Amino acid sequence: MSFDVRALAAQKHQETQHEELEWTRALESARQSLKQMDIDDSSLELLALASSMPAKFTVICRLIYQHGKSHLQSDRISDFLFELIDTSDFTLSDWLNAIECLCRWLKERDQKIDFFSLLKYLECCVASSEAQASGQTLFELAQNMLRVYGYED
Amino acid sequence: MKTASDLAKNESKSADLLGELLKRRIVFLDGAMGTMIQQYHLEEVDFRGDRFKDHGKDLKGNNDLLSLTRPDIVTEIHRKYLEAGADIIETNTFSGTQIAQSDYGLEHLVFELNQRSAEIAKKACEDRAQKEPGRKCFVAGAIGPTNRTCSLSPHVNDPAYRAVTFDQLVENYLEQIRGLVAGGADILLAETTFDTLNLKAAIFAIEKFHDEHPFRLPVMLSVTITDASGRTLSGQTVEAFWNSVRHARPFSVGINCALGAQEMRPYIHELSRIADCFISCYPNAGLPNPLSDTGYDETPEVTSSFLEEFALAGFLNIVGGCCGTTPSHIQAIRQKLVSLSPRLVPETVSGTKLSGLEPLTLKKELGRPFVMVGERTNVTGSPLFRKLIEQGNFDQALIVARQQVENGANILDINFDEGLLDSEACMSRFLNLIASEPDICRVPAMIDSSKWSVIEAGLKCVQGKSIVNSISLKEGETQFLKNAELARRYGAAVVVMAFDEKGQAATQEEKVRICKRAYDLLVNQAEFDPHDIIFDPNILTVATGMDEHNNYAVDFIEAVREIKKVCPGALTSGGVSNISFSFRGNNVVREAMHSAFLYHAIQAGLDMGIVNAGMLAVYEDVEKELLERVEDVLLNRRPDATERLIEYAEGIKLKGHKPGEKLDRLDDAWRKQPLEARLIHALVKGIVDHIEVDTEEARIKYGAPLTVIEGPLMDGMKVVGELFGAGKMFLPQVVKSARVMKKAVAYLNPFMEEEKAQNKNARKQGVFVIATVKGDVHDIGKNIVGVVLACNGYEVIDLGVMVSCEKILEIAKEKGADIIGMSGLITPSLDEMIYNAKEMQRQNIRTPLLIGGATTSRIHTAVKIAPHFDGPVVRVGDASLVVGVCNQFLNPSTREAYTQEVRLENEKTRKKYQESLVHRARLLSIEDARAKSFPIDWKSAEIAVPSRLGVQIFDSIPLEEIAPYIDWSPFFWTWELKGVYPKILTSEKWGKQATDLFNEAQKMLQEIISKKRFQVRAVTGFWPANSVGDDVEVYSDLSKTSILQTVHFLRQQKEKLKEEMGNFCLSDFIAPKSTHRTDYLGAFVVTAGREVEKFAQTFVDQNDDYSSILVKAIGDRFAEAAAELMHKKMRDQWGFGKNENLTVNEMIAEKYRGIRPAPGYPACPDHTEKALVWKLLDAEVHTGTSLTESFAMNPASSVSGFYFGSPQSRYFQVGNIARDQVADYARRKGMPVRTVEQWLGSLLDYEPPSP
Repeated sequence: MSFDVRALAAQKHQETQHEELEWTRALESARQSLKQMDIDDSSLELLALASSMPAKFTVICRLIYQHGKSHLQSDRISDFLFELIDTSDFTLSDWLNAIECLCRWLKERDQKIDFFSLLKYLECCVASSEAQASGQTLFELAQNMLRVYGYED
Repeated sequence: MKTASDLAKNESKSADLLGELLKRRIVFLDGAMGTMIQQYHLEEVDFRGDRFKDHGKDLKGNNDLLSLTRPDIVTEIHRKYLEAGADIIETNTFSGTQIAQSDYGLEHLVFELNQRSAEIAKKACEDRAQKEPGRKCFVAGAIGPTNRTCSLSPHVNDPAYRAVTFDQLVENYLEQIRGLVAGGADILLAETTFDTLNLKAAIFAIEKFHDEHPFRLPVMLSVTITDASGRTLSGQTVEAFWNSVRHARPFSVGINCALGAQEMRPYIHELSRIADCFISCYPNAGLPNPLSDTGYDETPEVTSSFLEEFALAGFLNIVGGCCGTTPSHIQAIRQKLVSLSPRLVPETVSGTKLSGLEPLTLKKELGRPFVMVGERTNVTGSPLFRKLIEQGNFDQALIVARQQVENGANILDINFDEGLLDSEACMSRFLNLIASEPDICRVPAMIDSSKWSVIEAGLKCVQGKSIVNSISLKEGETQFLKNAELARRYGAAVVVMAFDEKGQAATQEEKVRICKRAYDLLVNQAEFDPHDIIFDPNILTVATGMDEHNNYAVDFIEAVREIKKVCPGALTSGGVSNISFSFRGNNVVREAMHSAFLYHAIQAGLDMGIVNAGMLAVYEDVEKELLERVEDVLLNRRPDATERLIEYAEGIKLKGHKPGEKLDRLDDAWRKQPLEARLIHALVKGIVDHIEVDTEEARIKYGAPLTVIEGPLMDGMKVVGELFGAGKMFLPQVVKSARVMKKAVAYLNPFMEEEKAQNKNARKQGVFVIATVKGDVHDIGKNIVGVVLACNGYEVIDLGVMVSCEKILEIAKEKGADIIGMSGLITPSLDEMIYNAKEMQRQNIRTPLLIGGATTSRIHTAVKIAPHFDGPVVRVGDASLVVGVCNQFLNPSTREAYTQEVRLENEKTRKKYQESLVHRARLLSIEDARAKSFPIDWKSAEIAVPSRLGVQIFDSIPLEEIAPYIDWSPFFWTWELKGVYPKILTSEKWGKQATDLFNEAQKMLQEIISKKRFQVRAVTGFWPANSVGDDVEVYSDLSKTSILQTVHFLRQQKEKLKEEMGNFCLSDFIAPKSTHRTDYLGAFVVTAGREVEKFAQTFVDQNDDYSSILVKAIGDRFAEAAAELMHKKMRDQWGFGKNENLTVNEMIAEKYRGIRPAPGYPACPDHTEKALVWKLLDAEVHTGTSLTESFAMNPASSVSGFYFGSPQSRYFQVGNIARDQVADYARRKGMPVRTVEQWLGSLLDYEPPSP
């Protein structure tokens, strides 16, 4: 990983008012644990730029890491994530917020979090007729879907 | 009476000549007589002529009379049709009966009119033959239906009244036929039938005529389907009609009048599939159009094109035109069709074919189910029914009939053999009353009497194919054959009892011998169709105490087994209650005996039984010890079997207990509780059994019906509401509770009306007006909300679907609505809701507005709807929340505060939304987006070629074939049970409820499949195609010189995170025209049909919302499953589907190549493109599915879309689009920009100017 942690941390501190040190720690941790086979540099940088808080950035990095560890032979989950984002009309921020929403929901119910299934769930949300309702963020759409349909792995 | 063989020898030459002609080509009928006469602009004086100049009644319009007063005109019209190419011309005798001529006071002229008309037509044919030697033309004697219906009463208040009787019709028709044949008619054509009973009378008259003569004329029959219901005026379906008249063994059967060819297509298709004779078709020239010369829409070119398509599809043998057609039409039809092959008469599958309003066809190869004949409409078998008839209470007697049908009776046995009754009059009256009850007379009747005069009286009242119960050899062979022939002449099947001249058959050997003898007589001498014979080998009573009776059941069962072998094609039946007469008064034992007896008899081949439908226990559920003792008796397994069963019967303490009732239902302890506790129990558990009795008890106790509702009933519903709110009770249970509540309220309604009239100050419940908005047809969610609110004491006024704003507001004002609810599923409905809110504002209505439906959202409601309306507006996500919201609005102490809260929430949402706009993804220009289209290397890309191009129609996809493809998960979501099937069945929270619901759904599914309650239709198509930019050109053939349609798609404009990801458009998955390669696009429309709504309505009519919602939810599942199935078939046709090897679950998870995006969904968000799908597939004609003004599919249980086969094709979301693409799209579609902005409002990246 070769993105500039310090410059990025400084930039994020300016944007979000979160402590630069917090950002530095989060970015450094991501750089050390995630390899190229998990996510490429530019994608990781995009994730950081789209995250509104260090904690949210850490959540997504952890999901990528855990998926990579348990699916050694499969394609990069981060590529799949970006493919889904670009196929949809929602921004990366939307997706990150929605992922966080789902994670929280699953954690509250002591349910296992599988990143791939989670992304597939969001893919379904995007493809649903409900997605046509104007103005909804992916977060709200996901919340709605959870309330009406629940979540199955 | 001549035998069929005698008559067959003397078939007229006409039949032979026509038959030969029809082997070679399609034969042409003439067109309309009435339309042509109109063109002469005749006046009263022309109709009168010299002969009738002093006649006392007006005669203008009596076209038949022109045969006497202006034969020159009639001759000229015939001549023109013959010149145009008609092979058969019809006589000018549509109103040639005394009944019809009575309007003009010319009854006495009927014979002469018919004779003269036939002579004129005959002369015209002979003149034509002179001019064209070798050409043979025929005269068809036209027999119109008269203007009176034999099946229906013209008086709404007296449904038993008839303006004409069967005998009168027979007499009238016989006179007409005599006149036509005397004038030289070659063929008898009974046409424009709107009431099958009228036609049966015509057929009867034709047979009577043939009795009098040594020859037989070919008989053509033609029915009129009056409208899109696909039924005759008297309510029969096409198949039921055919079952009713096929006994006439007609030369041809067909459809004429009322409809144009386009509308007639599905019915002529159906008839051509099932009729084993020639098919005729002569439609109107489209729909009436007062501005055209003929009064009808279609030109010869148009009509003939439609009929050409019929001929190519193999529907036709004889074709012509009806109202609105002219010689030019016939000429055009002949030109197009004369060289096309005629339809091949199919070998239809044999079987017993009966009918009421609907067919009951029992075909062996489909695995014939056991047929139940309801026995309770029998004065000898049912004391209740007898009492009602004796009291003249026929209305209540009808309820007995209805209950039998509702409980599953496939046929109704009707008997009035009681010494003090006028049996003939009772039979006629009862059947006439039944004829006006479609839910009863949809099933065939079994006319049961020991007196032939009573049977005949009944046969003269039923338009369906009924069963005569019974005939026998009791009075010898001659009488037996006479009765059989008469039954056949009336079009009935017969039950043959095992009786001969020596008496009733008791042993197995006697039963088989007598039945075989009867069979040989009927089949070999009377040429009866074996499938119209039903043997009743006599079920006799066992356990009488007399040893010689002990083997009766075995004798019957073994006789059935033997009869099925030696009498192939014939059915077997029996009166099941007879077996258990020894145990009268002990229903437990009796029902166990019936159940066990039927179990064994059906295995031996018993086809039907006369039973009390609804009171049959399930064999497996009969208590084991009882079953053993019962079977000991029935199967004569031990000498003391009778004594042991009697001993058991006397030991049963519980009266009214049904064998096989589950233990918890046996626990009637709750019935001992106080009244209020009983009501709560019934409501919470959803038990309807005693609700009326308990409600009546409450009414007496509390004095006022409203007090009962607001007291113990509402207390029960409060418990339901609390359990539901706490998540301890789920929606299906709530809906079941609502069913109980509805029944109780329905019972109290008459008392409440009386009370309301006396007390105008009676407190009103909250009034909730709800509707699915204009252009939208989805209503399951709305219905659920209505049920939940009704449970909670609201008066719910459900206006249904596709409701205009004007109607909603009119009713809201009229009923004093406290709250208005609007529902919509499709995105165009969002605009409709905005309009409705604006209207409410304009009309100064400030009633709280609730918004619901899949595409509505909190944000849309706050941002788009609320700003236009000063009253409170809330989006409610699901049914469990609606009560809380409504209560807050209705409660005076919370109303103000809640209204303010809603306003503030909407404001906050709007603000947040505005802020979020800043963070929206940047959009590329449309040119830049196109430059980044999804790349496919078309030089080397594999393009699969479908094995078939063009449109394919699937008229009736077997439900059994579709059912395995059902994805049950969405079914549970409809009921707000969260989870995925099958895991949800074992979910800790939802499992029990989901399992109960699933089991009930399976029962309903079986009912739907076995009784063919739905008719799933589909139409698909493949065409050559190429993309041109963001459009796809669809070509009519492989030359690609003619564009059928251009389909327009939208492109993603969002700037991508990854360069390599293209900005998708569906056209990217079709080879561009510039590649010079041919690609293919498919399309489909699938529907579960209007039968879903119809079937659901039968439950609504019984106040059973639960079953109604269940039916609709299953209807939706069928539509989706059929879409999955059809996609599989189409992938197979494309080739790549054949090697898929996917399970159904894998298909549901879309693990296949290709996609089927639907207009209105994210990859193709423009609903208006559905119109192109409809045009390509002619979907409305082929499936009966139409599009509303908002492009919702009607009926709602329908699915449509495109098929893409590229391996790279995928789903995506178009998302927001910019002004430049909107303008470009509008140009491509040929629509104003403003219109496009309206349709794509939710996608716009900008705020369009207000109109």
